[in-house]
Amino acid sequence: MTASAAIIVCLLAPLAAALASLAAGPRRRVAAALTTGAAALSTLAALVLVAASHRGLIPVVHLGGWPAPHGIALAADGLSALMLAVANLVTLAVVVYSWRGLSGFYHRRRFYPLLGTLLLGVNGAFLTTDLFNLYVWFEVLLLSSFVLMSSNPSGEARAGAWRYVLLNLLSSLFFLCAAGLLYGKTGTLNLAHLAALFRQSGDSFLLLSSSALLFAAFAIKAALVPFAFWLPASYPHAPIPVAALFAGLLTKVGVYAFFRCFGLVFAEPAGFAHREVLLPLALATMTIGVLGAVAQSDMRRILSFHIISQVGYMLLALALFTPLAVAAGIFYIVHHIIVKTNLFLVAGLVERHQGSSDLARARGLLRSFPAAAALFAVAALSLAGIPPLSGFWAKFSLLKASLDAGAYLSATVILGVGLLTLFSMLKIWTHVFWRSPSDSPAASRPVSLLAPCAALAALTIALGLGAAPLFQLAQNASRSLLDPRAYIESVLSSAPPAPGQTLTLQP
Amino acid sequence: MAPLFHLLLPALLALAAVSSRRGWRWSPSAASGVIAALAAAAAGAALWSSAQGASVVFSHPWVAPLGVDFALRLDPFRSLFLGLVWGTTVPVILYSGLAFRDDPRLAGLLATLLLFAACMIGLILADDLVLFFLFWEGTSVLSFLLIGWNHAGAEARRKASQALLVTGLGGLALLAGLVLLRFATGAGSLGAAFGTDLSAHPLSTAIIVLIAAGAFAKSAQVPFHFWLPNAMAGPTPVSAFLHSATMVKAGVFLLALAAPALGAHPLWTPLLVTCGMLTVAAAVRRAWNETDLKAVLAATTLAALGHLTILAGIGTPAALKAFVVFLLAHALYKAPMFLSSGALEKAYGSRDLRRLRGAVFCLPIVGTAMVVSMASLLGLFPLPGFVGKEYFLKAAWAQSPALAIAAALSLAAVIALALRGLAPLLARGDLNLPAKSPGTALQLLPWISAAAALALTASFPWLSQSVLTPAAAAVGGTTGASVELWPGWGPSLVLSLAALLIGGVVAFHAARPAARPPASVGDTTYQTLLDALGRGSRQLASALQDRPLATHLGLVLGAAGLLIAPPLLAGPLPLPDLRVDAADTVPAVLALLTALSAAGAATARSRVALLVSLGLTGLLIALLYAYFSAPDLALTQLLTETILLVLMVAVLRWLPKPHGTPRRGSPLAAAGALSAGAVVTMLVIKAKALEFTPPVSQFFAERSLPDAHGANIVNVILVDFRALDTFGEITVLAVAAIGAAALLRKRRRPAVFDPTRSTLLSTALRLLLPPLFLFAAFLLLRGHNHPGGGFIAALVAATAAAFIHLSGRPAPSSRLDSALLVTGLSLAALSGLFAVAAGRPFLTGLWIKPDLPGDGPPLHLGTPLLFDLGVFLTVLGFALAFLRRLLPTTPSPVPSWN
Amino acid sequence: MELIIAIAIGALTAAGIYRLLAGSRLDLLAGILLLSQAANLIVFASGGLLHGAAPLLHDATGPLADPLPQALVLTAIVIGFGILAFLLILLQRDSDNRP
Repeated sequence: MTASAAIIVCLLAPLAAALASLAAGPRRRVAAALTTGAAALSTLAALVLVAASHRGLIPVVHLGGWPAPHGIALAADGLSALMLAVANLVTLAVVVYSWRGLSGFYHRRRFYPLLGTLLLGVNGAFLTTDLFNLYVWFEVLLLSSFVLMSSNPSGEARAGAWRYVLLNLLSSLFFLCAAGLLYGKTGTLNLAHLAALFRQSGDSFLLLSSSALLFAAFAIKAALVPFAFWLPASYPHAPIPVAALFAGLLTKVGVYAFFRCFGLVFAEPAGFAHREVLLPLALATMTIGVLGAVAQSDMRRILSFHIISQVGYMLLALALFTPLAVAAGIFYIVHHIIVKTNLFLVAGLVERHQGSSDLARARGLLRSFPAAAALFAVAALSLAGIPPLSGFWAKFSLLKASLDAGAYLSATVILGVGLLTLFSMLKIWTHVFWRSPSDSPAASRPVSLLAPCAALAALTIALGLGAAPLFQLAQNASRSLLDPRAYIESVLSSAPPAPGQTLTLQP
Repeated sequence: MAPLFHLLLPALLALAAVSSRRGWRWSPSAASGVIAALAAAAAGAALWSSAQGASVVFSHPWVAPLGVDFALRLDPFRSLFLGLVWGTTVPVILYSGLAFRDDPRLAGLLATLLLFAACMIGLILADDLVLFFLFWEGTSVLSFLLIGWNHAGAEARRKASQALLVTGLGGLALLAGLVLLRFATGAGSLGAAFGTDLSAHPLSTAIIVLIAAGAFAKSAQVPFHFWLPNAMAGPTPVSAFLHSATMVKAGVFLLALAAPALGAHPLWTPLLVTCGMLTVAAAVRRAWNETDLKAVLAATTLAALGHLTILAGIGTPAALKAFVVFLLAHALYKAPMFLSSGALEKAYGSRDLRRLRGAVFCLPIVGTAMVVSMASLLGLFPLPGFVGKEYFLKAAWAQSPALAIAAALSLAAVIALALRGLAPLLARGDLNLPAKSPGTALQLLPWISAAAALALTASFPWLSQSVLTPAAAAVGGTTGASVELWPGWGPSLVLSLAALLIGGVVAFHAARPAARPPASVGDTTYQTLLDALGRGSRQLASALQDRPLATHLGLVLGAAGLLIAPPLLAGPLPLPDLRVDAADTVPAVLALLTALSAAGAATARSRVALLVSLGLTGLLIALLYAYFSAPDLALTQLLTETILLVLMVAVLRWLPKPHGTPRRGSPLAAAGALSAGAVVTMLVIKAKALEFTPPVSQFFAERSLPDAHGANIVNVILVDFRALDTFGEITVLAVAAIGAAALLRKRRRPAVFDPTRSTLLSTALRLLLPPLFLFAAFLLLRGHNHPGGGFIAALVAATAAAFIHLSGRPAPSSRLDSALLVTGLSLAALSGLFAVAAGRPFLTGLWIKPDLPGDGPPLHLGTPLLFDLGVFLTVLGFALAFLRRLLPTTPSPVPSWN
Repeated sequence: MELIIAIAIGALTAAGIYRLLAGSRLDLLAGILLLSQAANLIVFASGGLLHGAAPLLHDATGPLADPLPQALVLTAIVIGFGILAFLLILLQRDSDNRP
């Protein structure tokens, strides 16, 4: 598979899966097989792109044959390739999990087609180099996730879903306004073109209101405090595979947008003031998120609040804006997607076993379900930043970056929040896995439920023990953001052949 | 290679333990024997390598981008520690194998203990700062699991969590300190980092505080001392192994390593000495009235750690020499004491000292070990404890006589505690025979370990020359003199005897009230903090979370406003063009009307009013679009508004009326809304003021006709230049339709009227339909060159479909909708794939120009037209799905579709 | 002229937000609808407001209106349409399920 083909596969495979599952109708196994195959294919394609970026290439496809910035181009630089790889991988894990892990009720609510469109939106968002196109993929993502979320008919779930959609619609509106204003001022929508323009001129005034709008839009998407409170209202009510996917992907697309726009386009000093605004917000997000988690007494709610807290870490990395910090942030994103998805899937295992993920009701799983205990331990320790797991390297590099940069408050918050994260994970462990087990009838433990969790846990361990390769990839990605000349050149080059050629028909 | 061997061996042994099963030949008990033997051999190897005196380093790059190596170092000091760890492993494993012979979890316990040993050994051997931290945290986590081994009890869980959190907090401080240390020295290895004198560095205060915090947490020094007595909740082998011999020593180990580099800093000695003293005082105070044997032993361990901290605090080479001796002495007498207490507990079924009166005489084997170890603890010549105390006092005296006196008093306190606490064991009186014999092996274990200690003492010259002196030299630098059993007459001997005297007197004359041990200040503070955290976090979470939707919306809007408004208000506001030409009347009127109808929509009370104003607003905006040269846009706006309104009417007709009167908007909301409106107005005005570069759309005007064969540039943008946007857009529509199918499975609503009863309506509908469909097709085909296109055509066709629906004909099955969606999207994707087959990028237009007879304009047929067809089909499928589900249906049977 | 349009956009925004904060499901829908109209107008206005210069190439005399914002707004309108239609489905389902 060539890199350009891989880019197209990343878009078309999920689409094909969605359409085929839709056509398959109620035939669940067919839909499951097709979706799994498509997810595997797009994961493979993403890995091809990662390999290409590792060799220093930036594969670009100029759609329609039109040169960027006039047409839309899809590019897979280091950051995009990494995001694609990890996103498609966890989607594959979730799809395998949902063979047996999702009730028929949700399958009849068109789970597989919606998952296909969700993945399409995610892949499109990671690949596109056009601001408005990013908006369109965000909408695909938003509506797919919204429909998935709305399939739970309970009252709380419905209220949560409305809150989710309304706040995210506000985000879309901000985004749309920003894109329009930006076009009006600069005459272009292409991210590489914008990056080139802003690096030439330094007139910051132009950008402040549009970038502020974009900031607000992405802040809602990424769940930055004070825009974040749609998340705890909605995530706990979605079925487990859906929640796992959301936890892993949705907010990270927002974080990616932050990195792409505020790392590439609106980089200091020509743009929006990162440190002054993003830094305190990120610190507040980390703290409030973890305090919210500490307050909860249900496993899913704890994990949902943790998402908010961890997003704070990633955006703190962006706010610090040194090469090491940005690399640490990218590493953190990859690590977090894997660990968070895994945690939700394990929470699903607990729920299946005990009927509930409430801390008071689930108990003693260390004795009655040791596999789940081991999987949880790996993921939880990684989240809390205990070496030698991937989370440690993420936190360590971020700590190092902040101490090197003299940001002592940030370093303190990183450590303090890490301790509180450990505390809330401890709470889950002592309630759910320790204590003597209750006598509940043993639920079945099909391999298709355990295998994805085990694979993700193994990945966490592997990334912990062998952090060097991923960190190098993260550093490449960071470099391509902070010094985007190669990116700009690749995207804006008019290499494609002349479009729209007329072929004459043989009579 | 040697360090690596010592690191891997316990891991392998853990695997061996885990593979054992009860009832097999390779039972856990048998495994424990084998493991203990191997551990003993490893201990010997460690001491032997210490005797070699050399320093071995093993290094391999690990995470190169972060500068972290997998580096291990083995020098005589570390060999001593290594020997201690292995040496403690032997009796602990044997004890576990014996005492827990029938416990089903024995294999797991052995494996966990061995994994812990691996972490501890890794900590000792690690030379890279990050690797050191890795093993440090590993010991904390494993300690947590081991303390909570009997996790059915809530207290055990609480104490285990406490230990993890306190050591975890210390660990985080340590991490910060290590990172700063690396930053300050530029070195990644412990050896290099602590090899330089850092006391003058600006960051040294922070480094000291942080590293000390970590070490204090691990070694249970004030103010982090309160977790250690609680950690005794774990099983006896755990307490013996982790919390007296190995893990707790990790902190003082680090302090001893750091002393040469940081010792000259003015903060170092006062901090460590003070905390060490306070720890001794706290330990003695806490355990003064204790009746639990294990608790008394824990207190003496804590006090010993305090003494070691003081020695590290003094930091001179003499002090570090004393450190080494004291360390070894403590290990030699503590292990037998713990093992004896374990045996006594097995025998008597209790650890309460009141029940254990005279146990030394009733179980003489165990008793001997206990007595010998106690003698060493009290510091009686010629036992190792004596030597340790002598060197301790010597080093303190060399620093300052006052310190030495304080040290002697602290020793006296510990002696008093030990005598007072353990006296019942030695009480003569009625014979207090145990309920059951604990078994010969279990009794022999402490005896053997005491004997081993005595043997080492007997060979003290060898021990001193081969182990102690090189170790002292490795950590503190050489002082010349080697360690002697008899350090000679001097102030230290005087103080030592004085301490013994004072301690004895206090012990025997102190009153014995039946008071309960005082509550630990640290523990209470910890619990209070935890409770406050819980309460505070719950309040915070509920304050932020349980709010009505409007609050969250307001919060988001307000925060966004705070981001957007300041830069807007900062710069100069360009004066808008206030001239109104005659040519501007129409748009001005339209805009004004739009604003008015928006205001109407905002304040509408009834649903009808709301819908009317919404419809009016949409219409006016469509007219604005039409005026400002956007025909396609105006048509789309008009059609979508219409269909949306129709759907809204259909839904709202049957929506139950809200209870009570409609809520009046709050003034706050009004104020917020108006200010937001003002901000947006300013935003738009200011945005118009600047133009950067020629917009990219000039390209479109130039190339649309020649290359894309379309005169309607907007349509060409949608299906050719920026086809991916449209692709995403129809995906959104498809998702919406899928959602409709997923959520509204069946729907029956009675129609308002039965249209089949009205032949006029049926006839009219039947007549209108073909023209409407034809019109839709016409719009589709002409879209590329004139206003029209896929959307508009599809919406017109959808309107026709709505008419069919309303006319009462039963709609075709819902499979048509999904068929249309699938076909449409597939067609759109396929249209782009033709290009790929021809070697072009995806979605490139491929055209054919069939030769037409006659002289008309050239006809171009291409893949973008297929794309537009795909759009058409998708939008149609979407519209049908919604119309079917939201529009009312008739219940009565009607003729079929055709 | 731009001022009047800007005022209209501001009015739409204010109306939309006011409606949004009013609370009932229908209000939310109305608010979103109004706000999306406002956003669409903002994007449209960024291309300049020309009269009688429709971007159709065969009648072209003089400068044409910028077609790109028009295409963008078209896309945004249709996306908004899809989302709002789905919100109506939700409204319908919730009223069906209400006891």
